[in-house]
Amino acid sequence: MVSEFVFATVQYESGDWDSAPLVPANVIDAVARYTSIPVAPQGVVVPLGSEALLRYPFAWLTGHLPVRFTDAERRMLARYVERGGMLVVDDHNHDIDGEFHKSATEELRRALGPLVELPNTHELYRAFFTFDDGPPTTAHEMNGWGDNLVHPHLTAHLRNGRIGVLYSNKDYSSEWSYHPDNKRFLAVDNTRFAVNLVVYALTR
Amino acid sequence: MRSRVEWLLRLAALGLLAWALVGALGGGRCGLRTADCGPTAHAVGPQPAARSPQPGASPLVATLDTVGTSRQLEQWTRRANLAALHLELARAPDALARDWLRAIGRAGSVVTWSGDVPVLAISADAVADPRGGVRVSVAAPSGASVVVADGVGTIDSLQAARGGGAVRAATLVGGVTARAGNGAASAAPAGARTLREVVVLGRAGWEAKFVAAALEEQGWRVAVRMPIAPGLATGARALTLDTARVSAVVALDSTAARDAATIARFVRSGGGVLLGAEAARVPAFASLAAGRTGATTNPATTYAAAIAPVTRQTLALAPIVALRPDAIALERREGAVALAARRVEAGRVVQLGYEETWRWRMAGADEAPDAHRRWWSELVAAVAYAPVAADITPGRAGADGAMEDGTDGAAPRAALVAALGEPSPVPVGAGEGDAFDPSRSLLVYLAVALLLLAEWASRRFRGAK
Repeated sequence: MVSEFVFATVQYESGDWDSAPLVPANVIDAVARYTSIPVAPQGVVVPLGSEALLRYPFAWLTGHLPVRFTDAERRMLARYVERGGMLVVDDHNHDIDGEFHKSATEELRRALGPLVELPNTHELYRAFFTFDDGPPTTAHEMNGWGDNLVHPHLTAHLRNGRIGVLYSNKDYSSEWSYHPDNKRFLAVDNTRFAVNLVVYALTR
Repeated sequence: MRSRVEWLLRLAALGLLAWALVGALGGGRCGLRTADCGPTAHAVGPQPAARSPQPGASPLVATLDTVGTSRQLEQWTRRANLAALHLELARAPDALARDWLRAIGRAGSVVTWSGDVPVLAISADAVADPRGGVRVSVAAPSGASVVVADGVGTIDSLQAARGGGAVRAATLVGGVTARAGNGAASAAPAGARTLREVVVLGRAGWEAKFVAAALEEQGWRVAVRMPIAPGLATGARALTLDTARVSAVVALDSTAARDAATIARFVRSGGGVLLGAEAARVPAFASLAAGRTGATTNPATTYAAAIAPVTRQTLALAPIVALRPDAIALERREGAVALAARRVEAGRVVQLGYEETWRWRMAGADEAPDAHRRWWSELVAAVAYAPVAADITPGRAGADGAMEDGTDGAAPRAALVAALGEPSPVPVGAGEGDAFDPSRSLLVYLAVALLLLAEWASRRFRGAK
């Protein structure tokens, strides 16, 4: 019985959880393309406050709008991380003054405690591909929208030395939200870091 | 008339002397015939039980006092003509008394015993678990209430079932004692165990990840190798397994097949392996497996089961079928074997039928993560090569596992039988208490002297010579 990796997108009651609908397909394509990890061809959408979240130890959360978790969502998030799940949260605004960043980081702090800066030497950056300079810069970080900054670090909530929540202002939601067939137009596949996220979650 | 009294005095004195003479020549309660003392001489064991009592010795039936035991033993040791000693015991003598009695037996006396000495034994072994702990195993008659205590106080109590029971303690202070009725058995725990690395082999996926995480969280040192792409794996490229560095291997799936020969060699040399259901299907592991892996059944096929908290009972199960004759089933689910174990030369194998146990940890009830961790740790501990390293308590165990502090020993009745043989009936014709030996009694000679003095005085007072 070989179980497949299933990409789960988190649905939360506030905000726009479905702002990057092509990310799952692109990440699934990257994992299948580069690794031998069995991967389900389609992702799932899982409500944050639902027990069903516990069936998907890797989950992706993004949005532009202010985030306000319900009590049930907050409790489930804490339970999910406590048990060993890994949630990747990406700021689709790539703006440290943006509403998503301020509200999402506050909600994560309430649910789990403060996020800490993840050093660029962390094993996440060598889990499959090697990123010597830490999180790869996206084409969207300096596109005139957001804060127009290159964000040098990701932040994280660690549990037992493992990443429980990974928070990014890099806007990978925009960077990876395109049809996988269009990768052929890229000189360097910009979804390679997504492979690191999945391999890290599955092996650490 | 007076001369008749003098004759009577002379006869009495002569009678007493004759009695003393008979006693000195071996008479007494057994009489002169050795065969009279024979029934006590049927003990078995290493002591010279079949030896016949010395002619002229007296049999003795006694109760061993709990206070003043040494004085009794000294008295019996000094008796020159003690041919047979039978003890009526209510509890096992301590190690000193037991050895002393065995010495009396080896010195020529036949020492036997009878009585209701409780059947009780105890052992305390360090558990192969990074968090430590001691497993105290007690053998007692089924149904007996046993209280287990250490130097500080009571640890736990248990009702013996199927010949005994076991309790687990985090630590022990001094030795550990089991008490049931009027019996007690005590032992010092064996030394702590040396634990080495656990190697987890499996596909990059949730099962291998959460097995490794569970073991690490329980304190094991874990090395993981998971293939993640053709020619690429996490962890060491080449697998080196030997008991000097590795305690156990967890082979979860078919990705471990390429190292099957190395793992088999490791197990035969004393290492342990946990075979996952998928790994056990691989022909390369057939020589290690406890049985064949059957078709997977998944109870969580209904909507209600799918949304209910996952338990070990609702995990997918590939039952272990066609168990080898030398394998034993450790756990069953609805009649199907879910866990089985066997020895392979010096090593141990546990085969799992459960699949995707990570779902239990992630989607189980509140206690599920901890239960998942402990379950995997106990499975690894059951097979791990974990040699005893050093004593962990101040008490030092004797050769039979008993504390060398004068307590009853780890298996008092067994030690008693080993020293003095099986219990036997009270010897026929034997009396209780210390036998009176006229040849060694000052009273007899004093009486003779008084009789003769009276006879002489009577004659002198009437003027006769």
